[in-house]
Amino acid sequence: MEKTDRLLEVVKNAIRVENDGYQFYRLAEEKTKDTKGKEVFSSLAKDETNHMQILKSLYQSIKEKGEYKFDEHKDMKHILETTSESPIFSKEFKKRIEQAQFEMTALSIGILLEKDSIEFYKKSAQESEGKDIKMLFNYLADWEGEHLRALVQQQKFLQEDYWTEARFYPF
Amino acid sequence: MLEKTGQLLKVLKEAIRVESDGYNFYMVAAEKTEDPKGKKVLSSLAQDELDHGSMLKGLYQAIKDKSSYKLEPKRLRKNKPKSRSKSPIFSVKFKRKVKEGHFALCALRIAQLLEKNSIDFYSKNARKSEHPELKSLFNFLVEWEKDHLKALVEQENFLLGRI
Repeated sequence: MEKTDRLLEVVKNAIRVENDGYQFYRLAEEKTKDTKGKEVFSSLAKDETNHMQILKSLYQSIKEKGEYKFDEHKDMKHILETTSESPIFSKEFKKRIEQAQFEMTALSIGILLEKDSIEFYKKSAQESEGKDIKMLFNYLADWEGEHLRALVQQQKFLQEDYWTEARFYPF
Repeated sequence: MLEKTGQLLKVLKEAIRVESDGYNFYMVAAEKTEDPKGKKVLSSLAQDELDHGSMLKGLYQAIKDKSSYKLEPKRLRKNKPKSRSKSPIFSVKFKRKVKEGHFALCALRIAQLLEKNSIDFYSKNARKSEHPELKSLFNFLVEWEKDHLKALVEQENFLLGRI
């Protein structure tokens, strides 16, 4: 893939993907009524901002020097706590589950966005010939994979209770 | 094969969830946009998902209660955006306010992901179903969600100056 223009186009698309994630997590942060949910969505939005910064450096480096050096220590992952059965919302949130229409949709959309990003980064890593660029794309795919695990875990924790309590609201 | 009751109920429940996600998202997007036409069209897209969900819920309940339910998907009125318009969702003048990074573009792309997900889901279940009416319902929903997807893609292209 290393034709510079093509690579720059891929990086631009990656920045767009991250910005969509950022905007969505900010919206989720604004709309959820759960305090822990607000914090976690905010940290997910921050992660997407970090990714955008990393990608902007990659873009500049390729454009100016025609090369890129990946530094995993500099671009350290912020680790989400995924050992909890409720990694995004507070456990008390389940007691108010019948009012969780937006939050349940936010989890579904977060899952779709993360799956889409992972697929995009894996494909870009495969098509890429530069070792450091390949490493960076795989690193971002892994990072989004952690977000995905947390979202799926949270959805599993709430799904059945939601359907029972909300009785297929709004239909 | 979807015709085992338990399996069919599971698929219908998932379909209702898919429609509920679409409805909730379009409602939030309608609330967030400052463009009056956008508000109106996004609300009508939410109404479409509400109609789909209500029909699926009726079917789910009937199967669960072993009562009869007449599937009449074609009686639903489509609120599809005018596909002939170059700007089917937002007003033409809204383009001036939108640059890459604007929430409207992000909302259009999220909605595309939701519609693609619905299309994949209904297509897969139409293929698996042997019951003609059910197959026809899922295919009908595929076509409807494709209309939504087409309008969303056209709108993104218009706002980004690709057309």
